[in-house]
Amino acid sequence: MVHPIHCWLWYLGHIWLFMPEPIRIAILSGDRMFREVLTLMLAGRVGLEVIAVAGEAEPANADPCTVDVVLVDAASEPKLALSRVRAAWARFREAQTVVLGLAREDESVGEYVEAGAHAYVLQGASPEGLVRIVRDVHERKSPSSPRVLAEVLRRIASLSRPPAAPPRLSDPLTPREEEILALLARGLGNKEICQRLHITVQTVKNHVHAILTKLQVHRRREAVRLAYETGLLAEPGEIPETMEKKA
Amino acid sequence: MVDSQGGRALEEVSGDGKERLRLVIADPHQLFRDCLADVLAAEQELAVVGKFASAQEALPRLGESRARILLLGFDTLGDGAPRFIREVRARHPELRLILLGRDEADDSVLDCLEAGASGYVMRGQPLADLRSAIDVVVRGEVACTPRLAHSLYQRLACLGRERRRREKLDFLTLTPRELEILRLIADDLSNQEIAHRLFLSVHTVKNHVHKILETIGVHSRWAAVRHAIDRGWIGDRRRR
Repeated sequence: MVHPIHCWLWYLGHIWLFMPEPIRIAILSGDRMFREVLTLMLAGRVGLEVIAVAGEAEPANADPCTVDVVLVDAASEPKLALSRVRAAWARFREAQTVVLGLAREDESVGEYVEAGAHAYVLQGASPEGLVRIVRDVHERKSPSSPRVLAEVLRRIASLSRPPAAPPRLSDPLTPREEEILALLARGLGNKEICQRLHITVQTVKNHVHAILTKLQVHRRREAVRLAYETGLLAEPGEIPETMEKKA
Repeated sequence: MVDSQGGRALEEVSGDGKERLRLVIADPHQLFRDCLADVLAAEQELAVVGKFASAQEALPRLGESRARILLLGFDTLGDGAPRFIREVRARHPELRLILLGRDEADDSVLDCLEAGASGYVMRGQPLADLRSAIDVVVRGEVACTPRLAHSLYQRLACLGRERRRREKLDFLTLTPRELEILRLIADDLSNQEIAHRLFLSVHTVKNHVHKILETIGVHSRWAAVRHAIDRGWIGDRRRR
């Protein structure tokens, strides 16, 4: 015999099964009070879940892969907002970034978009407005004013230019030359290179000369730039501090 | 086939004396085109000054029509759409284009917007959206769906990252010595202190600083430091 409780369990099970995954949100803001009201407001909404809150540029406890939407507060410290957006975009690769608290809906929004924002929320927006934008951006939609769109297109037009084609080296660098190029990029001089590789200064000079000839440039720095631009060398993360220190 | 002006004498001005906004429609679907023209022409501020079956037919007649807006069936353009749009924009800089589409692939629409189209409205959207898009593009702004906007945002973000990458490499315009001195300036050292630290004369340091400002193109030490931090040449020490 089927007891009514079984029917209820069956029913609840289906509700649980077909509940959509909640949108997981991270909040970055320098204002503690704003963080807290935002968290409380969002916690009350169906289908939204705040999983990380932080005042610094990076929440220490959030796995970047689990975040769907990052809210970056631009109102608390406007000067840091752009770099925050850039950092959020770089860290939460898969997430959608939303800047909060912009004063106006004008050309300045373009700067945030260029930094990696996927949507923006004005200071004058209502909590419902924010929730709607979070849901929209999660569906890969960016609600924008026509004026902002015009600015975005203007920036795209001014930035897009044909990329510099990497030079086809008819005569590729030898492993030794690549090694020396990498040392040049780290700011080492002839003397240091020869000490490190246990070869004479003259040999180093010969190698450098060969590198410059092959890359068709005249100066070491040009060679290093070309190598970075064309991917011959990996991007410098931190630019080396030790530049030609006297031994 | 051309049924420009539809045989109807066109009133240049609307009832209240304001000049009407002149529109040209180019779309292969004749019934749709005619109905749309009738509906739009019934509005006080609008005047439909040309109806064409294709973009190519419309192109040579745009000049004489003195149209401000071209409503263009996106499906009639095919692969050559961005090229056509560039050509129209080059010949008639004042003309704004609105594309009527059928939910085409984002990339192809994006290319058209980049080529100079000001609006993209899907045939699945209500007529009111097309009407408001007309007002938007006349103001010099852009009308498109939020989904396309998302793609536009992403494209700009990628270009922005490219730009920042290039700017970071500009550190190579400074010599290693200059970069070293710039770091010390960022640490709030005076010329005297820098000279002492690097075993140089103050005069030499001044020369270096002068050269740095000249290379970067700024007028103060502070601006040079800001410039370098913004581009990631040196870390932002004050935040540590």
